[in-house]
Amino acid sequence: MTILMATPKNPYETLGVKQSATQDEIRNAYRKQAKKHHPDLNPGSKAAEAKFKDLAGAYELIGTPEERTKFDRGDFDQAPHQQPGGGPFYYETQNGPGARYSQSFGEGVDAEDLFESLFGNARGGARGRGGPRKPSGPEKGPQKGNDESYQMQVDLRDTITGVERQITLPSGKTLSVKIPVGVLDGNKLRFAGQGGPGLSGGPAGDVFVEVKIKAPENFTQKDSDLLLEFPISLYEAVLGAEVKVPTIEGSVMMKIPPHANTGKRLRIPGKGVFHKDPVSGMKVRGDQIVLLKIVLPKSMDPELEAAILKSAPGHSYNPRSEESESAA
Amino acid sequence: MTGTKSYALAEVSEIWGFEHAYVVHCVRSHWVVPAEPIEVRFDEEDVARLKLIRELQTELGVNDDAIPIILHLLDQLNYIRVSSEDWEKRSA
Repeated sequence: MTILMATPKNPYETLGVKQSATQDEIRNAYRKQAKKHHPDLNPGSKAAEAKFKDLAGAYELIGTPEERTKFDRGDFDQAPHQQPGGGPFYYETQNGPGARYSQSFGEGVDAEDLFESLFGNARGGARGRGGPRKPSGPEKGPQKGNDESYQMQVDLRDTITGVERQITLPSGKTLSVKIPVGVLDGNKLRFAGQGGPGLSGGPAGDVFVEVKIKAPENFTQKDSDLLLEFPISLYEAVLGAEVKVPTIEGSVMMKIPPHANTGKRLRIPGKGVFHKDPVSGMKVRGDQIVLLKIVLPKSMDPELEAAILKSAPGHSYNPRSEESESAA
Repeated sequence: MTGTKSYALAEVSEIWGFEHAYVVHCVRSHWVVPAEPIEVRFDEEDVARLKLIRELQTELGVNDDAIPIILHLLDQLNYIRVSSEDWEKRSA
């Protein structure tokens, strides 16, 4: 307990017990009064907080036979006792709109209407509302438990084929999550009744798992298209070729036209990411964009070098000029 | 309580003297939902709630069955308290 012991008083008097009281009587007296004066049951009451500190201090002194013996023979530590860590009382953390626990209670409750209906007339219709009072606030019968939200990272490939995953929640509960084909980034999967337990016979809350899609290595996602930088040889660039290109669903054959240059983009339709078509509303897949990149051999072929040496005079060009850029 | 410092389970145990198993029990019972549930990190609200539950159990003799009822009533009390203060300010 984060309590500073108050100025030493007679703990027996503070707790309202005789000096001859048994340990059980002392504990019961402490519990009875502590429940009454606990700051979390009297939020904001300095008197209750002071009284509670007195009680806690007294109980520290005589709450166990060992401490009580020390106190009775005058051998006790009068220094304020403090448990590790410190920090506010719980109610002190629940004072603002950002308080997660108490504000989650208020979801679906219009506090403005509630107080207006309870006190509006008593204040002479302070907000200008006249007429009969509304019925008092909603009665709290069985209540649904808290909903819980989590995020789950999913490989893009799994959104194409669909997959089933087991996930373990912080509570230790295991959920079997079926990733449906075509699930979109940010989609939330709902698991009814898997959240916090209900109260007074109410149903359990739900679990929501938000899907965060991750593109595979080497691929870059741009909207619904997937971009892949793809190396080709000088010969393939000049002469054209048919090459095997990886997609997220395995390899496909693709034709590289003759005279292709670095930076040229070739499109493989329907091998991108699912997205919702704005016209039809259907889920359709984008494309894979293959970005060509000419790569020279690591060690230069002497015959190639000789050929270039032979043809270079009279055939030089400036790749940094506008003309050469537009030629690509 | 966004923007406040958060603590890993080991830090919470070390700083506030909570037993590891006690914190896990509170989370598994849904009495405390970590501010960062996937990374299991606790903020000031969570720590204060853990301390309150420990007081209720070890010092006031409240059993497991009564804990969620008390927490629910306290959350209700705090919600109404803050809302009524807000309403009074705006009605004044």
